[in-house]
Amino acid sequence: MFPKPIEKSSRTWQLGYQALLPTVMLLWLAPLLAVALFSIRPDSDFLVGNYWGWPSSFEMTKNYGMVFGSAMPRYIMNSFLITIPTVIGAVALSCMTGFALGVYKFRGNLLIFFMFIAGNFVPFQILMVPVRDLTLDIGLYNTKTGLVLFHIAFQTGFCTLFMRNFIKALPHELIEAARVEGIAEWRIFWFVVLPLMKPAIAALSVLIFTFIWNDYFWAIVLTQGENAQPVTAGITSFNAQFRAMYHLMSAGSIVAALPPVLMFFLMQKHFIAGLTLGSVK
Amino acid sequence: MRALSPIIASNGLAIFLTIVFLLPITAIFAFVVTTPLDDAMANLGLWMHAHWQWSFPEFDTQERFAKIGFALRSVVIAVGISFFYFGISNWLNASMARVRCKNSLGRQSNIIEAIQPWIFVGPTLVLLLLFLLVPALSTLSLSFQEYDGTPSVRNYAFLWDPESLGYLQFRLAMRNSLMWLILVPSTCIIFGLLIAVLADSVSWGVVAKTFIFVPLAISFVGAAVIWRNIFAGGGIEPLETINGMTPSYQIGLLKSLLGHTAEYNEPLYSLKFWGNFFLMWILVWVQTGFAMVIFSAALRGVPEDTIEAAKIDGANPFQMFFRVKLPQIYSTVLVVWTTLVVLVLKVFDIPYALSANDDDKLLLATMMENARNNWSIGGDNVDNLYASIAVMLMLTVVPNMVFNGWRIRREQRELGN
Repeated sequence: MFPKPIEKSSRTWQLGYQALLPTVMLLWLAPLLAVALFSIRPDSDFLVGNYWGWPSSFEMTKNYGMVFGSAMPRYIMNSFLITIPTVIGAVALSCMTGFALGVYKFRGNLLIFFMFIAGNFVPFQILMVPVRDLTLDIGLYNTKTGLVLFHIAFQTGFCTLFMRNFIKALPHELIEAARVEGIAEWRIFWFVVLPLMKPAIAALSVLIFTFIWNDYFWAIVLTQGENAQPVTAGITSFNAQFRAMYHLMSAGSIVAALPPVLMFFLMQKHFIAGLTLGSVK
Repeated sequence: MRALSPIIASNGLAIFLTIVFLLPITAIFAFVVTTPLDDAMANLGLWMHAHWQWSFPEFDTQERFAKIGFALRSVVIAVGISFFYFGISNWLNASMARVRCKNSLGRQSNIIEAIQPWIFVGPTLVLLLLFLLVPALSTLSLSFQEYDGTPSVRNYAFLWDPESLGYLQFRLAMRNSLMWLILVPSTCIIFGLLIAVLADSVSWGVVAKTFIFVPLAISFVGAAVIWRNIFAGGGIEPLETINGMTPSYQIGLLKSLLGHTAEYNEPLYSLKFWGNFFLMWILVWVQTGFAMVIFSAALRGVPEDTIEAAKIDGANPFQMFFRVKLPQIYSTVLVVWTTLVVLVLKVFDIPYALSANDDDKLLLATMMENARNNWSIGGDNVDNLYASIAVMLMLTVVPNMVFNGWRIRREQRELGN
């Protein structure tokens, strides 16, 4: 096995090797640790330039209390109200399209499939202004509904790709057997295929949740103000409001990043399965 | 025996027309019929207001409850309409096939099977056409128009005319995009491979990988805000009080570690030219976890016997990696590379959130945003300039798109479909 067991190699090599990974990890985690440290400092520390030393006092409750007393909870609520319907909508739609493209052989199957792939690659920028005008025209500008609708439309490309590949890999005999029994097509979908897709649904949901939660582009294109803006857009206005108050800005960014990070830790298996499924196939 | 295709076509059309007329009417009807529920909700709110003696104005309660009521019935109606769509289209499909081919079950199921996929694909296809294809084409046509709609190529000419301001900016944006395109994916891939290999050889590798992976769950904006603390100008002693105000210390870990003078007061990512690399690093930080996870899975999938064989032949660790393992995960590296390339082309959040959008650090996406917000130089308005930049951006993505389409098609052929 490469790399060969560390015990067998020379002393210096061993040390270098063992030090490399911790070094990389420190590099990776330093900014997160810094922000975490900032968020529990009192503001007086920043006035005297004590950024990287030991905090003069721990002000965790006060700082986070300030964050939750601002518009932040509102933004987070908006993020949930946007993300959850999008996940449900995109996953539901892509289950159906994935089923259609994965199971049926019909003219146009491949064409539609490639349309979904292409849709996956389209840069958002080319859609930006017409989509914004469209939302204005149908009265969905600056609403959560509008954002949800557009997110669903944009995510289905990726989701369909994902679901189709998963369904293609399922044993086709199962579906054939159900057909021979004379079961209606939608029943095959609902009672035969859907239960088998549970792992894919879980993986995709986790993945889409973080995608949508972390979206910034559409958030600032289609919404403004705390009525509808999700937390990614909120964090910038929050930072503008508390400019140079590093302890609050840090606490704010931690609060904003927490839901997807928690999601990742809780659903790590699904998250990684989703990434692997979505990219390798 | 008549051919099936006319029957399929006519049945399909009938179902399509029914849906197109029936669904909106049902939706509107449902909304109108359930309107009184909003008032009921408002009254419920008032009752609760009175019962628990809430402190805020009655009007607010009323309004909020009416809104909640509206949201609730919208959700219920939307879900209901979706089920209605499936119910009615499947029912129509089955029963029309039964009517058209009374005697042959085989022909019936052929018809049903031919129409069925379109019932499943239909809603998504409509969404995709409406929100992806139409806007893309509309931007394309806008890019060939003046703001008043007269056809013109001025938007493109502006980017290519050495006399205009767009010339320099466009060139810089292209240069920077190229740097991002080369550096970010390759750095991510190298780091990802390195960490994947390193972590596989130590006992706490799983923990290490988990932590390296965490940034992927953080948004680009979040990452930009976090790294601002590190890259900001910093560590300078406060100057004397000016007008009763003490200019604060500046934050910035990197700068305070390096030690510096007042000249280096600007954030690292605002540096001329070199600032680009600090912006790139933020994206690398976020995306390396992705490369690492994929490579780690791929490396585990390398057949054990090839490794055994190489070991018996006396391959050293480097040969083992570069000659045995890497060639076998080559296609995975390619997939990760294309994914990252597309991501880099779209990147916008990081420079935008750090307001690093001066000429020197322009990317196509940020240049477009600048153009959309304000583009007029000396009375010379190029209003739809953003559209032409967006089209250029699209053009840079197309080769990648075609390549991926080709790759997936080839894989499908190999799999036998």
